[in-house]
Amino acid sequence: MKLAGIFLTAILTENFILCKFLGICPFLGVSKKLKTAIGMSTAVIFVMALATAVTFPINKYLLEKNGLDYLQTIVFILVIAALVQFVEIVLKKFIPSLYEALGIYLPLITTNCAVLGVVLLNVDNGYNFAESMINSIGGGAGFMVAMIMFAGVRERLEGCDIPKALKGLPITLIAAALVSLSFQGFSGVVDGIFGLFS
Amino acid sequence: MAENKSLAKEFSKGLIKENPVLRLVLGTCPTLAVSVSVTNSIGMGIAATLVLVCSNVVISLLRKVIPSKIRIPAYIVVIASFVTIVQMLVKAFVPALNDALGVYLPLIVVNCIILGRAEAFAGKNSVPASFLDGLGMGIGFTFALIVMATIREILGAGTFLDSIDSLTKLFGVTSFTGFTLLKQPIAMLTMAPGGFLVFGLVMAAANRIAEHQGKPKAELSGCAACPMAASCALVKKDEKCETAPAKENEKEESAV
Amino acid sequence: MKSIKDYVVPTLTLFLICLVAAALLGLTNGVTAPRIAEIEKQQTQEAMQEVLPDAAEFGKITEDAESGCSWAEAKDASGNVIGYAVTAAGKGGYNGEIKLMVGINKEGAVQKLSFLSIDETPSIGMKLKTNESFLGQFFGISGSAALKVKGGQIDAVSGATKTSTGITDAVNNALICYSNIKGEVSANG
Repeated sequence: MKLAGIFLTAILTENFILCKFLGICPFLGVSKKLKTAIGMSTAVIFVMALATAVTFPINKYLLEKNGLDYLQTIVFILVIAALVQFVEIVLKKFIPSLYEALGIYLPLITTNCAVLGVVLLNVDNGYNFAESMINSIGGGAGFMVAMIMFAGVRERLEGCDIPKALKGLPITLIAAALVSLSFQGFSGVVDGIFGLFS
Repeated sequence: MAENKSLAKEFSKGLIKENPVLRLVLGTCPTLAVSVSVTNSIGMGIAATLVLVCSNVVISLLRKVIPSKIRIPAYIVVIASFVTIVQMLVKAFVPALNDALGVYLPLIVVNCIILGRAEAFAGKNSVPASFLDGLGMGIGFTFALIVMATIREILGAGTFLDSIDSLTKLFGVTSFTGFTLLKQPIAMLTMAPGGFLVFGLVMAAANRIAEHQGKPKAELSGCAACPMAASCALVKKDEKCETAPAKENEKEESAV
Repeated sequence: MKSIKDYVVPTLTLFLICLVAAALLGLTNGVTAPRIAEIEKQQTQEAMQEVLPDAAEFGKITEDAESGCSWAEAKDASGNVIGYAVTAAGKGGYNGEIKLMVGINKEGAVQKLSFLSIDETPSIGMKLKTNESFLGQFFGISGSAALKVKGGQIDAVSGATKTSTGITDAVNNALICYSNIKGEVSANG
């Protein structure tokens, strides 16, 4: 049940965007339309899972074993960058429909806090492989939930009469504040259902 | 001398006119996360500035040597190395800051400001200019962080410069640990929603000031300023990230 | 020929840059790592002394892989074991793990707490570090520690439920560690 706890925590109580502030740029930049929001977040889940799957063994069996912990940052980011580049090429060539759906968002995610963040957090929390994967997929899912909700909010904002100074980015941020506030309410939920630590 | 004047400009532009956080809308993640305490903001600002200056200088030095095809990975290696070095220095000399900044210290690697300036400036300009550009942007970043942190710390935690002794310890001053100003602060300001809210309001204020000076508002032209803009298919497809005017990107063939 | 050169030069350049970077990092690590280890050791020593002030010396620090904590025996001036200094971490806090040094006397009761690593909200969560009435609830507890809402003995501080949960979890883990120690010690005779 611990895995379920981790999964729900990543989506609700420690949502990557709304609580941890990871992945703000795509969140603010791409959440205007529902379609791009879904495409982007699918790409994020995909990259997060893939990055974790690849970096975990590299970290465990190469870096930590040889006491090369300090190379984590540099190795992770290079692996992620290379991986995403590779995936993009593969998708473009072999699965063009999938490329159309999410391939185009891939470069945006490479150098984004969200992916490097989740990989580093897994190391920080000392998760094993299963826990890391669940945390990453959960994080990505949380990203998707936040993006979709926010896209809905922003579509409503379109028709509103906003004070001049707040138009554009400021009102978007204030809307994000309110969405984030609503997520704070989930604090007790996961704990109550599963118990965060078995 | 004309050159001196323009060099000075490279430095000052990062402070206000092209402030990376408030005008270029870069580096938003650490801004929101770290601006809870003024002490942490100062710490983060110094760390980021250090990385920015060092990587700008090195990248500028190597700009004629790095083939365009691999410039993004090359920049990443340089930046990541400096971040790791700074991380080790912080752990060794200011461990309390390492605890406080947590995962955001290594995340300086993907701070758009650094990769963005490397791509947009250091890769194309001389070393002195790149040095000053990095310094200006870094100080501008720190300035924006401190502005937000002042609001959030005073109103949200009721203190100001709390735990500053962890930084001043380096200079041998340990007596001063900050002021306590409020007894019943608005705690929410130090949590996630508060971060977004304060950022939005500070951004609104910055926009107002900019408009008074006849300049455009800060748009999320983040896409054009984002280091990945050249290879981002969204920008290519003309489906802009935001309602920012499409900027003409350099027609350089990127890694793909 | 041109196409091969197109690939070789960039790759070599990148490789060289990586090599220089790795060398530089290795160098810095060599310089800073001892100092970092030294600082950690000092912090641990100070914390151990704080939670078991009557101790004259501390034994070797042993890691308990199963519960993820580490402990050291504390002896008084005449060499009698007076307790254990246990380092344990707790989950459920607002911002990551909370690491505590827990001083447990030889009867298995919590004596004192010292915070090793805590990064909660400055307004409320962090104030728990110096909240005597909250922390005082842990003194004298043995066996296990849990919040009242979970059937335990600890009252959480209102508005800082998550931080309270994290601290309680850490103390609980320390107590679990202690029971493992006891098991080991009696098994070894």
